[in-house]
Amino acid sequence: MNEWETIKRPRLDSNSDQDLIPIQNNQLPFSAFLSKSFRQNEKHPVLSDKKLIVYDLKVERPDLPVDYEENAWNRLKIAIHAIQQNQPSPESLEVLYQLCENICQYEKFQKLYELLYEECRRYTEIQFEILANDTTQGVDYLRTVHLLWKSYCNQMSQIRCLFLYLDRTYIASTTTGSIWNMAMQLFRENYIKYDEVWQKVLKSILELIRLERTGEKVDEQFLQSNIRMLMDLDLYHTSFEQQLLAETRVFYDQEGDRLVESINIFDYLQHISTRVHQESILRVKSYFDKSTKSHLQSIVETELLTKRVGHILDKCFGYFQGLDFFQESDYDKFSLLYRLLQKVDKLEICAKYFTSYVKTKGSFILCEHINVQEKMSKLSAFESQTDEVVDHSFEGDEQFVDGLKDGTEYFINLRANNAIKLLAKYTDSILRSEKLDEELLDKGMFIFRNLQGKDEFEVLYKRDLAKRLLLNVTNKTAEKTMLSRMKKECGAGYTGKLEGMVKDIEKSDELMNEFNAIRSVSLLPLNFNVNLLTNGFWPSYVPVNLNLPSMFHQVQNAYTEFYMTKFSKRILTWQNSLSVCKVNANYPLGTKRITLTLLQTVVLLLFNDTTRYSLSFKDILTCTQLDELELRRTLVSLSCREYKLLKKNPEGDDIESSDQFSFNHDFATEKTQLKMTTATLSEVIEKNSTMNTTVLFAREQQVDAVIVRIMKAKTNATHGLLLSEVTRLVKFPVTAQDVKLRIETLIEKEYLERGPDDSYIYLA
Amino acid sequence: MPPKRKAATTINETVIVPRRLKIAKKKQTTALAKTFNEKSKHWFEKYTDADNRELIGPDGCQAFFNDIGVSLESALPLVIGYKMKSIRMGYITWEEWLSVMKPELYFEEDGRFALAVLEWERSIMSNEEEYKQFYLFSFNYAKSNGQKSMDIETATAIWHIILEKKYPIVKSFIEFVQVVKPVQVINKDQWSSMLDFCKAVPEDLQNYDSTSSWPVLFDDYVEWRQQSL
Repeated sequence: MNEWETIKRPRLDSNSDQDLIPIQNNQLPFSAFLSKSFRQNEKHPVLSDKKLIVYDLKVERPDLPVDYEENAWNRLKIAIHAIQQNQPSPESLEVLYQLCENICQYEKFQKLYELLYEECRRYTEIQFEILANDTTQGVDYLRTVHLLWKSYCNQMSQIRCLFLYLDRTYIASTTTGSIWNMAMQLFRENYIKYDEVWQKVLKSILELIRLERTGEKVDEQFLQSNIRMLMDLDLYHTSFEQQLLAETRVFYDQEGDRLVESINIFDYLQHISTRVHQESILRVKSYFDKSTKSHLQSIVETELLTKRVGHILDKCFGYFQGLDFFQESDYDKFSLLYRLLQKVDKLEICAKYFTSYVKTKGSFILCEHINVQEKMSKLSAFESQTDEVVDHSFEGDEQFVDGLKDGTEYFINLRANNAIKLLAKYTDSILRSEKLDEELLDKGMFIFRNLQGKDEFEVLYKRDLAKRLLLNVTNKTAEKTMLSRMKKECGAGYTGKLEGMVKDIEKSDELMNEFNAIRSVSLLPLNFNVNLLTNGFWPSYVPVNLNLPSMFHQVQNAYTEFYMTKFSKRILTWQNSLSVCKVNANYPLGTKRITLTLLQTVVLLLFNDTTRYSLSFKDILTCTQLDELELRRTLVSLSCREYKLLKKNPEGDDIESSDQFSFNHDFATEKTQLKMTTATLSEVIEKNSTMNTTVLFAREQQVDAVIVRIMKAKTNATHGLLLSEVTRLVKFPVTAQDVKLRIETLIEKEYLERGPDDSYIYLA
Repeated sequence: MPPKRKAATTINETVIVPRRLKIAKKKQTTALAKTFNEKSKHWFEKYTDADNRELIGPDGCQAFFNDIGVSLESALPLVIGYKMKSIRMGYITWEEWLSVMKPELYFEEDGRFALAVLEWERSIMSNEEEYKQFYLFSFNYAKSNGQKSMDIETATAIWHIILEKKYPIVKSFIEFVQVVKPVQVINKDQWSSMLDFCKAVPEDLQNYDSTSSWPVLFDDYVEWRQQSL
């Protein structure tokens, strides 16, 4: 301890220091230091605060006359009684006040207070006795009580004025705190004592509130003042509020039960909104205490809305489900629903409903039996409507944006909905039309965008495109527009081959012109046109074995020669099954121009040999060297369909190998131009692009490749991780079961093996 | 190395035995072994075909199991195959035979071998790890030679014999793959997963998680069971 400290520290501390020492011994050195330094900071109560203290001060005061106190109290009592009778005090208030003060000065407060208290208690009790015996009911009773309350308050404040000195000095120092508090306490105690009075009051107030809620006119002022009484008596929160809330709950529960079934669901929503406004704003402003607001609001919301949210949403979306086109008011309905549910935090479930609405409604439209155009325009209207709903009615809420996306993707990709086929059919029909309507094309793009199986669509689109190009029923600018749209969505990789197909046809035209320019015009037996299809761009077509008449050979050879001089390294394969011929047929009844496939033509040309009346199936087979099935198909188209160019003997719809065929001399039709290609040729073009084998096989391979790639990088991975990675990387929809099956195949092939804890290990 | 022989060598090393005696003893043991071997070989050849004296074929196997009183309907033939590390069910090579037929232990006449087989079975069934090895072994052992997978008849028969007693769930599984969703073959992955499945999933399928990596066959099975519940 250094010197400076010794000086500063008061002497008294050295005593306490000594107290400290034995403790110090028991403590670790540093903790002793700590406790010591703590002591140093403590100020001495006497020495540090500069206060003047006077001891034994004596004030001389005359003694009170013996009966003064009693006398004074009697006078005060009379005054109190007068006040309680609502009569003017017989003595001057000033004098009475003095009396009270004097008594207090002589420290008789407690006695005085007790007397006062007793007086008030007796009075209140008598009043309650009267109330308890009052048999009036309802509002009238409440009015009586209220009147009593009013005058009681009034009286008590007058009494307080008389006893102000007592109030300020003695009572202020007790737990009661003030005469006013005492008065309130007395009143409250009596409410408790006379429970029937309290129950009646309570019931009447609640009844008034109920009436007001049902829309009846009630005296709000009166109600408010009653509630103020409860507040003053401190009964509002302790017992009234609870009752009120319970009552409110029952009220709105019943109202909800009644209304949700009986009125239109949107009127009901509107009603909820009104109710919430009433309870949370209006009623609180007019009579309830602010603290009750949140409880009330939450009860209204729970009873009317939260509890019935499933039912309400069922009804709302049931209504929307039935609508084909939304009116302005329907958007408002969505809006209302959104705002209400937002308050009670039920948007999530609403979003679920919305998603399922989009799913079912979308599926419904897709499955409707109407024509493609109509379906597409319905669908696109549906799309823009739901967009609008999410943007405006749902305020662009993310849950709904996602929900819409999920729903749309779901219904478009539901296999049973066949959106892929619909889209293919739709685009085909648009592209076949003379003039391209870009707006119509855009309607289709919405489906395309959401399509998961774009590869599947590609196959169908390619098939249709091939048909359009080969049958020359399209305009190339339209094709290019469509392709550029798809390119924008999916990138050049997706449309590359399709663009190649269009280019092929364009190039073929150029080459044909070139060919026509250089060949010697008269040398060839027939006019012809060649389409060059790059292998790989087009669906693959199987070449048909066919014994061509020499003039066709001649033409084909000429072109092949020409082509080889230009592109010597390329291989040219003639797809005879895709070729079309225009034939002049000289019938006794007139010449017809018939468009036929090459196969049909070759068969028909056999009948130019007039030396034979008829040819048997076998004859034709040997002459044409066609595949038997192919020949049957061709003969059916020539002898069993609308235009019977050949007579079949015996007649019938099936071709037997024993059948005989002869030229139909009697063939007659109004038309001079016939077209017999469409059915047969389309069949050929379509035959080669069936979805199931090509696409599905490619998909399996892709999944395999992705799995192996992931596992190669990670060496081992849990099932869940691998699954999520695969679904992320693969560009078409796969189910967990699909992936599992592929994993099993890979285990079988020993690319992978099972590891511990649901994992796989890559086997290098 | 069997403990018995080890003990013998230590004696040889510690106790100095005259060389002559040693040689005599060695001669004696080899001679003894030779006779044992011959006896064993004789026993072996009893079941081989005349054209191949190194291999017991299916008929021979059946006769052998009959002779030692082992039922073909039991797990015991599999146990023997497992102990012999046989490559293929229904065939026993001389080496495989020799690997378990300790000539000095088992004689044709005295039935000790049959008892040993029962003891093997008991120890396999009671040892979790050994049982697993035995189970996995039986796949390659019992499937037809040259095939990657096991045909369903063999698989269900073996499950019935070796798995069903331990795990009652197997019974309905067999019904599933035979009747409900007829399956042609069981591949190796499915085979090995089967044991894990039996171990992990109780009869009431409480804890089955179809999102984990069980082969799809098991998913289908569980789905079927849950539908019929």
